[in-house]
Amino acid sequence: MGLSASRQIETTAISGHLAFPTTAQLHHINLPVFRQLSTPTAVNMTNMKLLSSDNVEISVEKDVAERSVLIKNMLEDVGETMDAPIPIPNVNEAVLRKVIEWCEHHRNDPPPPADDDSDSRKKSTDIEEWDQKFMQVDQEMLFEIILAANYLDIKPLLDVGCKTVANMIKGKSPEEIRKTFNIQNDFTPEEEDQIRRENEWAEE
Amino acid sequence: MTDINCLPNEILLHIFDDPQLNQDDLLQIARVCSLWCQIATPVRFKDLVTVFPGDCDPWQEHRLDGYRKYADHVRSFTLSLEHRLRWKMHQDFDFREYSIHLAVFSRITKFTFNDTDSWMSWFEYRSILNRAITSLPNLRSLVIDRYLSIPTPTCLSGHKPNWTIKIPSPPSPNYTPSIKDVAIIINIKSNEAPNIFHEAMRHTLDALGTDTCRSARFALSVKLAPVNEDAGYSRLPALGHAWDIGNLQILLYKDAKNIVPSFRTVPLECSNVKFLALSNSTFDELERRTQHRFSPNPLQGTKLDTAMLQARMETMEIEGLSKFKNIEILVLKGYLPYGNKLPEHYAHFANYFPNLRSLRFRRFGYLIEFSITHQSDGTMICARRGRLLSYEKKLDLFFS
Repeated sequence: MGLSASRQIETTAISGHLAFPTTAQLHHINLPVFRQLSTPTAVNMTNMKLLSSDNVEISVEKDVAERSVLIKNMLEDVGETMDAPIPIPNVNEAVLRKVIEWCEHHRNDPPPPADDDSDSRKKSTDIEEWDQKFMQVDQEMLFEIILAANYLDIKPLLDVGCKTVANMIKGKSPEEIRKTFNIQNDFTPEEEDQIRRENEWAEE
Repeated sequence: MTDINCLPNEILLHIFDDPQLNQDDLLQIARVCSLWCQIATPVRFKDLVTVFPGDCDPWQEHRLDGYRKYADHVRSFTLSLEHRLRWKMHQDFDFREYSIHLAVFSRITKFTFNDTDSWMSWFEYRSILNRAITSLPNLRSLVIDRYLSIPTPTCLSGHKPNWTIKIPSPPSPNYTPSIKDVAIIINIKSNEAPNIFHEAMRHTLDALGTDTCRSARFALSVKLAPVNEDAGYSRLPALGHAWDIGNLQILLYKDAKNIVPSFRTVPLECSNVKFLALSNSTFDELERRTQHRFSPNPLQGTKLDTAMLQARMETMEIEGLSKFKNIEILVLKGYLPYGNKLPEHYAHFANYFPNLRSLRFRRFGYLIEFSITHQSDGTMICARRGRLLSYEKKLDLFFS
């Protein structure tokens, strides 16, 4: 039921992202299932299913999935249990499996502090060894993981991804950065001169 | 194909804001493309540090243009005057200009003033502080880091014949202080340490004004050069009665012999005080004087010879100690004095502070806290509220 129903969920583009189905939409889809499972005889669900953008169901333990604030909040909104797979329309199977792998490894980590204080951010050199290896992927996968972490609201994973990119930037010249990330230089020579002049005061 | 251009601007901002990227990295980032230049700009100038080494004019026109253009992005501004400025200052460095230009950064919340023996006068120093607190309405945190090696003149004589500014007055009675935290770091390398310390505090607190002194939290760090180690804190004068500081932290460096004479340096009006010890020399000294070995393991503790400690406390000068209501002792290295022992051991501290309400010992990961209730019959109840904290990798010594 979940697969066909989830395909019917309308998604909306917000800030370049596909919006997650609303609680109301999920209630609507799963209403009969909730009624069934809300009885005392309902199965104790420790596992749940996620549905990737390419329509692959992935089974995952609930506490692992709840590393995603988005999924955690959604589960709290709709109730204790869900039978139908939760659609993750922005994340394909390969990336979703990678994200789940990270969440499984960090399932027992303490929750990140509520305040987004920049001082609390660890330095890039503080990336754990396991995370460093985890992030040894091609650039496309790296950026997909960052986007997925942002979408699923997994801040520690987003931080690790951003630190990895920051490390790739550190110590490089503009030309080297462009080459690393395949970026076009859209400055005219005059603009480059102007930037250089403007920055002279700060470089002294 | 997903590439870095697919990342939303807010994620790029998050990447650029990584603490690992320094100013030079951010400058290179700004030169990559127009989008990156635009996104990196607020990050680049968020924490602006200007170092005036003395061989350039700090107010050159292109610098001012830069300040004006990017000032809105600046949240934390550090003015660092280096040693050689002393030569420049006598020529054309004009603190009146400085005071005027500081207002460009009206949106900053943190101002750090740092000089490495620039030999500015108290007169000029107070002008800077005065201008900072009156022209920066969003200022919340003020850090003063001064290196003093010789008695500082009240004003320059001979070098600036046209110097006509009067010593600035403290803010007017209508002034509403915005500063919440003040950190004062005084580095003294002089045989006249007590006098210089006294002068530095007097001018600093006078310039900040009574209202700020009463409402802000203060962290005071005094670093004495090794040559003055013998002087120790016992020779530092009491801060006196004139400064009505509400909350004060005192950071003791390793040359501080022990906490006992330090109690005397606290202004009498100060009712909340924290002592932060950077080494275990504090307790080594206490240990030596009490002839008692404390356990190196804070969890195991050891038997405390309370009689010895009591004897020591009774012989020390305790004048003025009755003012303390809350004491926190932070040990950054070493170990807690009595380990994880019983409240009775710590309660002996309370005997000497009749108005004490709470006593806290803190070390990385450990906090032992007691609340003290004084009964009408003269007895008191010392209840332990201690707990083990999660390991803290970083402790901010000063307010950030």
